[in-house]
Amino acid sequence: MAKYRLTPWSPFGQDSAAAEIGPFALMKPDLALTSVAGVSGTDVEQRLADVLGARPPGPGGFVQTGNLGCFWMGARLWMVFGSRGTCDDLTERLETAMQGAAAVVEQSDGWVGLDVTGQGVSGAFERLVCFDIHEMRAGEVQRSVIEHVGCIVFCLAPDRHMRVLAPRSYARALRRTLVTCLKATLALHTDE
Amino acid sequence: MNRRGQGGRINRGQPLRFTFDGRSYQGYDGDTLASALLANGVRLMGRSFKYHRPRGVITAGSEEPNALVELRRGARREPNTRATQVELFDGLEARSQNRFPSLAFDALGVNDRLSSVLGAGFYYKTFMWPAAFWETVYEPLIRRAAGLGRLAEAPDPDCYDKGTLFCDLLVIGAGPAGLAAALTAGRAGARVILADEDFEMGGRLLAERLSLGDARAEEWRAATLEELRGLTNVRLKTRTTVVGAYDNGVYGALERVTDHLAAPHPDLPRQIFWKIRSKRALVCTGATERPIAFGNNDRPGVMLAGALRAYANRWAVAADRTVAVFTNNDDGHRTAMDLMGQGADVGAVVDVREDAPRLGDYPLFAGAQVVDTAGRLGLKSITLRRADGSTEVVPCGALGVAGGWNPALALTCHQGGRPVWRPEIATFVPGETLPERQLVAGAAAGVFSTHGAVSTGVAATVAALDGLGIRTTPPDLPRAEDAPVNIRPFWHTGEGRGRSWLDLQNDVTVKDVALAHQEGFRSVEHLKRYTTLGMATDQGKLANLGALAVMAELTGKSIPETGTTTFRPPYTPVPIAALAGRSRGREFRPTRLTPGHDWAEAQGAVFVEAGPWLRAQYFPREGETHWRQSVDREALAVRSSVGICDVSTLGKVDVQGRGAAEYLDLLYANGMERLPVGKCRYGLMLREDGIVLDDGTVARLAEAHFVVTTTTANAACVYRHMEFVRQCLRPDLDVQLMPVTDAWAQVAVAGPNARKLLQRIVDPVFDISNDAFPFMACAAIRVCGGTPARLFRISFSGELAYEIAVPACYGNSLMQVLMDVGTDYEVTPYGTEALGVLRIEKGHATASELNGQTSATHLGMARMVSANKDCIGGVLSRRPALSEKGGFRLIGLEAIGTAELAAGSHLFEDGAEKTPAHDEGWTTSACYSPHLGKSIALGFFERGDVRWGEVVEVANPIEGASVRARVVSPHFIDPKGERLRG
Repeated sequence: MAKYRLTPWSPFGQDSAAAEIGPFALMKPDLALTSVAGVSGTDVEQRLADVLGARPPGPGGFVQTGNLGCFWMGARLWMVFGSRGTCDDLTERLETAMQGAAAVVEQSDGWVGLDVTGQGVSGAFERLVCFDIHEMRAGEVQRSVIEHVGCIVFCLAPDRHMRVLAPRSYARALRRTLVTCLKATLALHTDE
Repeated sequence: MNRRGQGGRINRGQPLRFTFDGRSYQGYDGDTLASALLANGVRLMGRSFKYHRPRGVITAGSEEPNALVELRRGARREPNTRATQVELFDGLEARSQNRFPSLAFDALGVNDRLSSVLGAGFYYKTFMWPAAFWETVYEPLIRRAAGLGRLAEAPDPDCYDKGTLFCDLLVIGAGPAGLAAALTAGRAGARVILADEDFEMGGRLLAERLSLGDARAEEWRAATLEELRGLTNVRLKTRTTVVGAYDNGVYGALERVTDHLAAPHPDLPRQIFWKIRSKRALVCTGATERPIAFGNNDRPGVMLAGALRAYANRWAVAADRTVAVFTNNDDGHRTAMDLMGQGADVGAVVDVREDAPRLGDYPLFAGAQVVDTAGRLGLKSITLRRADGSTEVVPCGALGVAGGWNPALALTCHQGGRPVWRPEIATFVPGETLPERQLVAGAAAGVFSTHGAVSTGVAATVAALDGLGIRTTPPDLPRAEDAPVNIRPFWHTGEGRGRSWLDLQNDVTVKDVALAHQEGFRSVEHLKRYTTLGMATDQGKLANLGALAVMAELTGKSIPETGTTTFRPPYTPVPIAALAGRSRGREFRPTRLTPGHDWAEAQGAVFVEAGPWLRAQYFPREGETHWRQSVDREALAVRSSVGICDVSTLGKVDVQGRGAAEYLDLLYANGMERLPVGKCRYGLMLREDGIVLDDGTVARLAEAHFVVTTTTANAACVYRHMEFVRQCLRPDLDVQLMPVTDAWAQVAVAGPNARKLLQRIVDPVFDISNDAFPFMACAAIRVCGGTPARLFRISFSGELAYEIAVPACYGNSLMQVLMDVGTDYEVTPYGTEALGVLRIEKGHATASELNGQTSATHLGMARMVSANKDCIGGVLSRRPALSEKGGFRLIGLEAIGTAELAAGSHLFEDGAEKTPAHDEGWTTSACYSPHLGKSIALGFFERGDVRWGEVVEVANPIEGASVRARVVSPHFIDPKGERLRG
């Protein structure tokens, strides 16, 4: 038995990522993430479909099936996600399933996710993203620069539930930005 | 008080207190600062830019050139705010500007007396000698005497924001055309944004006494707005000025969110700069009235007729009890009628047309002109000249000047379009070359009647939505006035006793334009630069056309032949803070934190910015009073025992695929294809032109699996380059790239005891002895009882060293565990400063040396560019200029004595003159080496590889210092590399 153990540390440090701002809330989903970069000429899509139980999505989309989800990141490139705790073996499962048809890379620690909920969240995202947040439907995903950082934005429920994935090192900067925008959105609505 | 007891769009139930130049006044909710000042009998509101002439408000909108005031105090002090747009709030503090000691008595009013020598372009002809006086004496004096307001000279304490909006139809301006357009599009279900710079929507409807349909204009306006508010697809944005038209239907708009509040809201941005992406845009910006130039036409009280009417109708304010009107068109008569209706005494309507109509019972002087005015700080009388040449003085406190209306067409010209001249209405209107997907309606298109505005607004909307495939049912149009434009173009009254002012903001007169013509500055662009016409905050909205007309007269050309100057965004001034949005102060850019950041912070580390990263620079201990003490201690600890450093910021890219080795062989100058599994290799990456792009390591974890590390500074651009090579140069190769910088925490463990320290955490099944895990070995291992890790035996310090990577979530814990297991080795955390010292001592190049100018030969690494294979940049790296023997070479420098060497210094032969002709190189990095006990540096020196032992002068001209140093090998310690292999 090793004398020393490494313990995980939140990208938000000792502070909680969660926040409540009027009707809006911030929460940190605990995601396991693994990228799957398909080798050209292989049946990677079918193999991925076998794991997901659904065809992997095309550009701008994500699918959610049972414990697993998957979103499109590029040509023959997807990110598969699930909840930590239930999907801790995600990378191993995908490596086994791909059988060399794809490069499988563990990404759980590379990203941080924040869920933003509350009716009217689009008002805050108007000042965060460069795409039309009001046109986003559930099941859509978009890349966007947020505060100079390349992020991935999911629509889980239009105008009610969005998810932002950003590189882990930006976690606190992203949270600060989201809180600032949500407070302003709340104040603008109150002002009106 | 000049306020009527009733009427107007002010809330008399909500009085507001405010001050102007320290004096307290009362206004009402709904007032602007200008309307409230006029209501209190204040006509004098500012001093002019050059001559310090007394000036009052002349307009009621954003085109105002005169009534520029300073608002608020301290860091919130804001100059050049247009009183006509400042929404009154309780406690507002405003001050006049550009005067000393007071507005009523301005000492610099003496400039006005010197006007004969201060004409247009005077500074091009005077202050010529002595030449040295220009920067030291003349320019400072002129700048002190002239100017528009004072900056706060303190950081703006408010927050700002920016964002992006999307719509099918952007309607710019909420006058009758804009309201009708928004209603039409809104009913059709289109996504509409209706933006207006005013705090109330309605445009000229707010300022007129008109009827629309069977209802008063106000009732139609209110009903329309109520319906629009109920449509979820319509977004109404008041206090929002669309300031620029850009490519592909993009518009810039400034929303003033809290400018109208007395105290800033803690959570609200003061202003938001919106980027609006529209599928179609409809410009309904209306028109601005233009003045006529005549003698002393700048006295406080001389206003545009439409503005007098607006103050009377919207704010129930009479600029004075006795008024006169000077006009060349029918609209001036409407002003007279409205003012009479509000109880003013109209003493004269002076119309330049002999056949002037009479709309009411007022003294009409047809075929006459106003030629002069009187009143030092405010208008007291006008002098008119009748058609027969006789003159008459008419007492009045306000004069409304109606010279015709100019469409507000700036947004139609921001993409380089030129307006066209319409002689029948004597003005420029938007031409055919509108910005992409833009339409124009109403007065902005030169359709000046209310009926015309409403009908063209609807018609343009139908056309715009038709282009989007959205069907519309045009609403029933209300009946409205549809009077034709009756105007006789008239620009100025000619020579008189007083100066005739064209540009009130820049103090440009008719005579100045004549002078420009006389001196050959006849092109409109030259005229503008020579006289300053049309510059500053109002951008000549009132002045330009009048000046063009004067120049046209002088040149004998027509006005359209004379042309217009270029229209550029922004339409009205935009604070730089609004363009920056949230990117300011600590949030100027987002900060990246390393996985070990919290641990370092708990140790009291001092942090330094490295690009977006915040890195521990050094770890001061109790008793250390200078950073050098900490850094020397940390560097020596690494050399004598063991130190740990968070190097997670290094770029990391996962490279997989059957073609990965061949791909990396192309990417790097040195060979990578035959790198054995379980080994790392230092790699040099070149740009196409042969210059070094970056250096780093390549670790082969499996036959088809590599991990590339890059420098911190170049991580993003190297990854971009790698993707370019993969996708564009070698798409045939089976290669998959994945950036994993953030996924791994990486810690350098360096020093003679590094292995012993690591052996205490590496799971026993993994043998990291020197034989099993030699220099440049790498492996996927497990630490601390099963945590996955990667171990690389690489050294930046020159010592026995490793870099160990664990999933980022364990980075913080890894730092603490390494400290805990190494107490008997006195394991020492070290920061970027000691890291720099160690690598300079070892002679390792980094961003300071790889500065985009250096080749492999310069670095002494020419042999790394393999001649046995192709690589990006290989051929061009062998260009004579990059590889010649006499070129620059990386050298080391040791200070002689106790001198301190500085990076960026230049190298001269001992005793040589310190001129560029004798410059032989420069230093790139410098530090005090605690190991050697002296100041050392790296640098590039001509033929440096064969000049070791020479003594040179290291000159630092900026600090006036020059010290002597000896040229040595760049490898100050262990040049044979025995330590790192130990």
